[in-house]
Amino acid sequence: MQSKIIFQDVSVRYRLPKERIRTFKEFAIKSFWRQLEYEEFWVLRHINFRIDPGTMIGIVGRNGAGKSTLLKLVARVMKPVKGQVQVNGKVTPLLELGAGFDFELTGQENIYLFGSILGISRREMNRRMAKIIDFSGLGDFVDSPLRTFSSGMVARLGFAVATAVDPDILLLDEILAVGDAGFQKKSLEMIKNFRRAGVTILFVSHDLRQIRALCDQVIWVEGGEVRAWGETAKALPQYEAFLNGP
Amino acid sequence: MIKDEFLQVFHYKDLLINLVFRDLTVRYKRSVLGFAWTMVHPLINTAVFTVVFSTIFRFGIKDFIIYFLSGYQLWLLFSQSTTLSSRCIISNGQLLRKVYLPKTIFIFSILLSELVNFALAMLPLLALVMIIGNGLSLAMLFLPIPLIIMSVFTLGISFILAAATVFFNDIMDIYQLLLMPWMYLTPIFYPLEIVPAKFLPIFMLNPMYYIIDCFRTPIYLGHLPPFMHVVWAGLSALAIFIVGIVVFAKWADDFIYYI
Repeated sequence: MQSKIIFQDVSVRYRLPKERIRTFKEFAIKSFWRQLEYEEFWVLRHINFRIDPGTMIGIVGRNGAGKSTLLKLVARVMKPVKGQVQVNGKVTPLLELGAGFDFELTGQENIYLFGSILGISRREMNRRMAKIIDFSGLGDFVDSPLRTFSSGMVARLGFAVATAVDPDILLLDEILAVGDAGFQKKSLEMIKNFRRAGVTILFVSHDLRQIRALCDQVIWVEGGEVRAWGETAKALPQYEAFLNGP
Repeated sequence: MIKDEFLQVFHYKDLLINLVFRDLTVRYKRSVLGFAWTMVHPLINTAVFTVVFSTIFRFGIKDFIIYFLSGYQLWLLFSQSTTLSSRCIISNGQLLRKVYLPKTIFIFSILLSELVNFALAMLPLLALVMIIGNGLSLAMLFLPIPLIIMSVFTLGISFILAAATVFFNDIMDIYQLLLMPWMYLTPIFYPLEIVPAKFLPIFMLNPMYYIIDCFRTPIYLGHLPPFMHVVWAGLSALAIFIVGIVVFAKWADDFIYYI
């Protein structure tokens, strides 16, 4: 069985000017006087893991540990400086408020827009439209501009589109933190459906209770390195011990 | 790299259509005058320029308004597309941090929606040509060629600006500063003939002169532009386009660290 995601000795380095130079004028002056110094910072170091199809994997770690960078590599928006990232299948990220939506367009127009961002054709979207509108629970609101929506409604719309496009690999970044209790319950239900359907899911969360309830495996990232990777029952307690430790 | 950032745009053509649709609806939906805005802006400009240049500074241009508009509209297509494009990677940063997209798709969509605006703004000009100008001529069938040349040139500049703006905030301001003299050094509201002979070489180095001349001649004079002007316009557009692609492709992997 071919793995869905393979990280082979992956390292990512941020190379940024020591002082944050954001204007060309400064850059021109500093590089003329050779005052430019760069700072190198390894956000991920020698990361190795593989994720098999249908696995739901929780990614835990403190803020700044490298979780988001990991997701960026899987989503192909960032390339590793060293090592290899292999992703076999279509990656669907769950977009949050603001990214990918336009507040002047109606709910339905946004569904088309979001669908095309995920690479789904308009014909395909037409086929799925009824299902998306139904799951979003927006009713007649789909014909209103998005600026009239509450933030919970936008979140529901995002979730509804992402879940209707038959993802291979689903990226969930702190996503269950939004929406009301009813929507959260519905989303959890949906995630369980995806697991049954064999979708590979990467789930980043600080809610360890949810991780324990949902995930087959856990990757614990700390200081850019994988500190633990394995069955949830084995790996998660190590992270918890670390958090509660001295 | 070139595949990821440029050729993939063809696979995302539905997104391209949606982005153009969004640009146009968002721009016009909430304004009372709607699509008429596209024509109001150049009309006001034209009125001002016509008054200034046909009564105060007189260059003795016959049908000044046609001479002016046929150049100015094309200049606007260029200056507005490139200005909008220069911020497009930054303003879509939140999205580009989450999901892979060929990043030039935003630049292509800006050009396409500006071309729609351009087409709308051409309507009053064509009406003027029929009423007070030489009327429609066969030579106007040539117009798509300079329009394509201008689009290629615009894309090239846009690629460079969009990439550079990711790293340096002030590229936008620097560019706006350069646009002004560039416009005045291009024969848009005066004829090339009034330029003193010693400055001519500078004016002849400006690719914009050739591109605009190729577009204006069929409308204003009713015949084809000089062949060498077409060649220079095409070659300079192609050169800028290639430089744009190389620069953008070289830097695209680093955008993520700055957006």
